[in-house]
Amino acid sequence: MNSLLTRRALLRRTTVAGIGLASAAVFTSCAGGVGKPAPAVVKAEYWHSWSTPPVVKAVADATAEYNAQHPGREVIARWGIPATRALLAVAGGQPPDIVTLYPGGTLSEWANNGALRSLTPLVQASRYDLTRFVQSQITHAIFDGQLYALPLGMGAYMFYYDRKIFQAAGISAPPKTLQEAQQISQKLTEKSLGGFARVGFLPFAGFSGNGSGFSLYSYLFGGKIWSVKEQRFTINTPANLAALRWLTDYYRAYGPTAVDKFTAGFGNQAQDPFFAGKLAMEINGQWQVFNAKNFKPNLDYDVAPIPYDEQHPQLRNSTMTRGNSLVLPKGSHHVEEGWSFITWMQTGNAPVIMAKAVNNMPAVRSYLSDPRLTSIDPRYARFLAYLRNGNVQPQWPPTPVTGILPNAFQTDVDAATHGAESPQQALAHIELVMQENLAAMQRRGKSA
Amino acid sequence: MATVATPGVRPSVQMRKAMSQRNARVGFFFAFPFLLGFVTLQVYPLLASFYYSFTQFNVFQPPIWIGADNYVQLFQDPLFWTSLRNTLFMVIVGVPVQLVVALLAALLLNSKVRGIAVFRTLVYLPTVTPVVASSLLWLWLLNPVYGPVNWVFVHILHVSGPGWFATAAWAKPAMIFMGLWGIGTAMVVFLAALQGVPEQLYEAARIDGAGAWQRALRVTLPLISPASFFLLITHVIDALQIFVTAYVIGGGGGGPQNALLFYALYLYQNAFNFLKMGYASAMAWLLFLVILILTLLIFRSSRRWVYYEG
Repeated sequence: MNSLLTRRALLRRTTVAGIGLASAAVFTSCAGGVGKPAPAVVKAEYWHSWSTPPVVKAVADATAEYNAQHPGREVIARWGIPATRALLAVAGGQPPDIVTLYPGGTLSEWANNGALRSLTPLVQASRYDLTRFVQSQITHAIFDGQLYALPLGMGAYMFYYDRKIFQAAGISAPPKTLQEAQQISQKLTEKSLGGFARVGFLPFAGFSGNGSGFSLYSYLFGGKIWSVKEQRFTINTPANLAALRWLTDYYRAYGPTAVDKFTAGFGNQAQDPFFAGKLAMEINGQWQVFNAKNFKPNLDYDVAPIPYDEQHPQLRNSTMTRGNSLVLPKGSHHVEEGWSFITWMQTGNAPVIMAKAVNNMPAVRSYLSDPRLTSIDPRYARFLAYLRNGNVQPQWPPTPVTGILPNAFQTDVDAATHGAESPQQALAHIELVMQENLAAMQRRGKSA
Repeated sequence: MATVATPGVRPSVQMRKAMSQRNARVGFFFAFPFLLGFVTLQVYPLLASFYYSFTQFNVFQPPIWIGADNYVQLFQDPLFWTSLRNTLFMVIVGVPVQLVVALLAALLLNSKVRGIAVFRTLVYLPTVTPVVASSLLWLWLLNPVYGPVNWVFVHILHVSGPGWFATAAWAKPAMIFMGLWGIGTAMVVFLAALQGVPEQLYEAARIDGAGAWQRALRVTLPLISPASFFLLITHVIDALQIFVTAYVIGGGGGGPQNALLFYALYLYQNAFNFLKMGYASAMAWLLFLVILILTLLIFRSSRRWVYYEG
């Protein structure tokens, strides 16, 4: 046809072509269906927010293994999805079937917001044994008496010390108590014009903030932040006061402002203060072993149990843990498949694959002596042993307002160590803030 | 025009009415995408945030009406007052410092020396840098341990330098110091105003025996006052809304002992870290009130010091 193609004609033709294509597609798919009936595969979606290639691959490998062992089921792992997006999907009524949550209060807050399915009925129905896990990772997943997550790997803190600096100063063994650490620190501290060239030990240096550090010192002095029985914060207590007093005196001895200036010079990777010799000791997580391998392979260091308070020798070998978890969102369509997958992830190769990729440790106790993991590095092996035998607590208690805790502590612990508030005032204020937030949350619970 | 194409025939009143109606319809049709966006993305959120400010709202569950509780709580929240104090410090100390330095720079750059265009460009250039990049740069420049500024203090002046962003006492002065890097925009406005001052007024003043100081005070300042007025208002509003620099420098937190916890940052923390949307909405409306009042006060005062020629 040589006639000019009008717009209307073009539209008509493309529509016809489109219908033709679509019907062809329908026809062929029908034809395929007739020839070989596809098995009914139940597909479950698993969302996680990891995006580093080794971890994405590890999850993909684990799910592939699960799928191979479970004909008729398929878990589809989707990576790089932030937890908030998953939560919005739950709120919007289109939840994934399985989600991984990360440390930092999200678990108890999701549970409090009614976004999670309680796993307790599933545990009871299948008589699933929870004692297989390092208990701190179960404690942090219990909210209002219900279990909301199974662990997926965990991290913990230990005491790092630079053996070269220790040898040069004639110190043969790492400190057993916090008070010993305090003395050794003074010996190893070197001044320079404009501040310090090196400080032996700074109690908060290995933590993301003074707030998250304080929860450990609270444990070390026999304190607790939350009473599960009374469902209230127990921050302003003699034990926590002893902890904050010790910390305040510690920072006073060095001058809190001078320390602020010194820590402002801390960097990451190769510039990490422990790697750069600016700190001779620190309390840090097992990830530091892997960082050392990457950024300072010839660093002569070791890890030891966290020094305890001399008044509380029964709390030697203490640590706190934080971990990732596997949850089943409320409203998900494949509960049975979800439960099957998250329990399967605690068995076989999965815990090893995941721990190796994330540079953390399995939360299943039997894997803590797995030779595939203990052979990675002697210092990493110490972490595994520490978790087997140690006095292990979760970093933060599961409360409806755990997400606010680090910030509430940060402000007042800072004020106390800088002398702007007395330790007593600081703790009283943190407790007040947290109780107010809790009350507001409970008021919403009642009216909802 | 239709009247030109068909001479002698004037459109009737009815026709004109129909045409204007048609024009209105077409106009509305073309404006519709904007109006749709404006109403759904601006007006609705604005009104909704006012409603949310009276509720407890965590985004995931429906909001619960709690009356003025958020506002009452705000006044009892010490961090609210800390953030307000920090922000007002930037308004009361930071803005004048910035404007005075910008004016001095403009005066210098208004002189007739060789290569003045190069100097003007150099002073303006930092304004082009993205805020996040310049904040990170200053974080490094002012690092108390390895920053070049303190290197000068330690190695040349042989004193220990200030702690800058790392210490509570120096954090806000450091912010103001950093802000001077970005005076380019204010400088350009001042420069344009300075160049608009007629030469003959200076001549007349000189004939009347006015010295350099008097000429600056009696001729220059009054004649550039509309520019100063404009800059004052925009800078005050900007200072009340400081966010990006503080967020980058404090790493999302409030800096040393919350010295850099500015109002907008605390608002953000409440909204997105603590998921207290109602509380954050209440903060936003209070900030709106503060900005409105300050702007009105400045407008009021302008009658006494802003001079419009003619």
